[in-house]
Amino acid sequence: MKFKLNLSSIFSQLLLLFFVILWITPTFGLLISSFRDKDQLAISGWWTSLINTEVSEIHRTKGKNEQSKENEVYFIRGNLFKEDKGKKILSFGVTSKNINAYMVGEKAVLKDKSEIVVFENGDYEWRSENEFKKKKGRRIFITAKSPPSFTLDNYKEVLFEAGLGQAFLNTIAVALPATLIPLIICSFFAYSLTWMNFFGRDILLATIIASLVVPLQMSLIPILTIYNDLGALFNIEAKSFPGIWMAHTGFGLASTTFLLWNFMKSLPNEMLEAAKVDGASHYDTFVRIVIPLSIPAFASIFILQFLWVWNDLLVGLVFLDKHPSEIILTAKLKELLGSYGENWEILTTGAFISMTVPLFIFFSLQRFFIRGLVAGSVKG
Amino acid sequence: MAEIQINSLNKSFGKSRVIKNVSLCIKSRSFTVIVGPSGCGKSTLLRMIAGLEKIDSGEIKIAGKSVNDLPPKDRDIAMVFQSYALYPHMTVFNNMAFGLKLEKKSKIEIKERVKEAARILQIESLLDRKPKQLSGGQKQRVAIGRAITRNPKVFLFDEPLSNLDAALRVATRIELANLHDSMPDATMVYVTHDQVEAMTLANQIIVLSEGQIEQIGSPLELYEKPQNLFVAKFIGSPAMNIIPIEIFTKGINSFGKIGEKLKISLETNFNSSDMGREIYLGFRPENLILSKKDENSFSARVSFVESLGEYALVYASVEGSSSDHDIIAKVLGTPKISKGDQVSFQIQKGKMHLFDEEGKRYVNGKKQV
Ligand SMILES: Nc1ncnc2c1ncn2[C@@H]1O[C@H](COP(=O)(O)OP(=O)(O)O)[C@@H](O)[C@H]1O
Ligand SMILES: [Mg+2]
Repeated sequence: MKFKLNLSSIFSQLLLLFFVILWITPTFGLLISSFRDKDQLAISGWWTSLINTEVSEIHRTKGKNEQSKENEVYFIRGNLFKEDKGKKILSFGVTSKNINAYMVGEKAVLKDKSEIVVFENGDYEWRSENEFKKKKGRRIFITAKSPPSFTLDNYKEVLFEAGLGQAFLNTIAVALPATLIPLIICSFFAYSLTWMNFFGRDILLATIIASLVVPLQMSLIPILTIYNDLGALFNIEAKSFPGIWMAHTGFGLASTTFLLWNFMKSLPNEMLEAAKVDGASHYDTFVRIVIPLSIPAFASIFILQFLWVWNDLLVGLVFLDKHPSEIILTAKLKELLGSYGENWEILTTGAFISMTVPLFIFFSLQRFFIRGLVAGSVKG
Repeated sequence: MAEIQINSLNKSFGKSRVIKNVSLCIKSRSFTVIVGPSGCGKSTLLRMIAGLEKIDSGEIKIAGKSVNDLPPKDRDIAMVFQSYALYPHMTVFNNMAFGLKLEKKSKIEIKERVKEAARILQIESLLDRKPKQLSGGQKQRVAIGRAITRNPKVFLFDEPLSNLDAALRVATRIELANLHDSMPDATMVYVTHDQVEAMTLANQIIVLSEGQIEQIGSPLELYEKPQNLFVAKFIGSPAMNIIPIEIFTKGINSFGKIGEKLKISLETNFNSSDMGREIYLGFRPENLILSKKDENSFSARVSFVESLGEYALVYASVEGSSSDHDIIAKVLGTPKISKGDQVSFQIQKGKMHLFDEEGKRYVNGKKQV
């Protein structure tokens, strides 16, 4: 028996580990990629960027204008790298046929008897008995060890140049009200469905449950038509933030009410009756007892509805315009996918930006998932 | 003064009638216990008094005023629920202050009244805790404290001890009795299915069965003069022995017979018209004495002896015509009898209870009304 129990707990631990890895790996990969140099991103996987990598590069020395003359010998000195990124040169070559013909520090003798030495940090010295004639420098092929290198350039580009920053703000402006409004309305609604007696209550409840199965797509166009008519009637924009708030509220109403109703009816009956005996009106009971005790339910429903609105594309496309002041993240990403399809750095960064908020919401609210707030009210 | 008067009260849930034409009076300042088996409608009756359940027909008056249409808070009552029903997100202080806050009492008064209730119940040190940090007994006190702070005329308790363990139940029972003494102006109505609780706490007991009142009276009245078979069996532990008996001879000291062999003097005057009637003879286990065989005794075969030192419970069967009747005798000390013995019992004088065919009590050959 005990052995069996252990086995099953080991199994569930392993399963958990599996899912954690399954989830962490791509998320982490996306995060790393979004900080990588766009050229490296295109040629190597994100995992290679965490360790030193060998890169082969072509650089050019300086030309004749920068030569100096010491004791009848001509020198061109300099550093191959334009900026110091901590790369360490292992070997170099002077022809494309043999790009690592010489170890670092070794003397390469060219056809014209001049000699080039390249050092680890990129410094080089080109020495010749005769004056250098060529205006352009010489190509040097190097193989170097490159330390991990990350950059914020992608974010700069995506947020400010590609317009994702504005889309991000737009999405927040859509998602927050579109989550809070139904939550507020539905908490009142669910309370009345659970704890108040009125004519037609059961039918209302049945209707709500039935409407859970109506696909949203069915009602998109009729609602848009109504919006257009109303917009025309009052001479206002049919597509606007309040419009999409109402749409999301409507689409979320049934499920939010159902989930809250389900939670509230699990609150102990006698506790609410105790409040009634204590003299609490329905409003008092709702505000002072039901709401504080429903916070775990609110948190999980908030997460669900928020993520749904945040990741929604369809409703956003239908009820909002595509110009920059209204476009939402998902729509913007889709647009970027079209115009920057080759630019991975834009896409990975954009994707990660769109993920940050759901991740934040989830991690900050997850402690409310821990139920048991009601425990302690009943029995010992 | 808060007398509770109930007239012809009825209540149904769907098709099932739960309270059937109940009329009763709960005297002011009494500790009245409503007792009955589970599902007989005790809670429903209490909840109707509290105003938590709608009344189908009939009237409830508290302190002379009809409260049929009053919400709970205007009935001057407080209720202690079986599950304690504390507010889990509030501290003990706030649990107890909740009602007062809703009444918009001043902060100082709230504090004073909560402190006073906490002092009575000895839970002053718990005021800052949340319910989940309390033991069952402590929760129970807080629930009672919540009722006390509102200072109502009537306290309603719905099986407040049923979630406590046996030892704590006894201790809390004593405290509840003391609580009533310390608040002599309050009327307490207490619902339980446990007749021991009823007998020890009440000065008035209402026995309820299937939504109907079986008897109202003091604990002693119920014990000594149960008005019907139901009350006779329900009150007292172990329960009263009941044996069907046929009236056999008339006149003073009529005899009844059990089966063919056994005759018992019934200490009652029956008429000739009563001859041959099948009635019920009841006697409590503690009223049976082991005796010699004579005309007032009857014999039984011992099937089991439970010796508890102070007394022994003797399970025996009396031979009847068609079947045997099992009886229990509570014999003081440790009798020297064992399984299989044939023994003679006598019923103490004046401790017989006779019930007619419908289960109503017989007194002096007359049906009691
Ligand atoms: N809200 C209700 N709806 C339907 N039936 C109920 C309801 N409350 C109680 N009953 C029924 O009424 C009967 C009496 O219940 P109750 O008063 O709780 O009994 P108890 O004496 O055990 O407290 C039971 O049969 C119960 O099933
Ligand atoms: Mg009950």
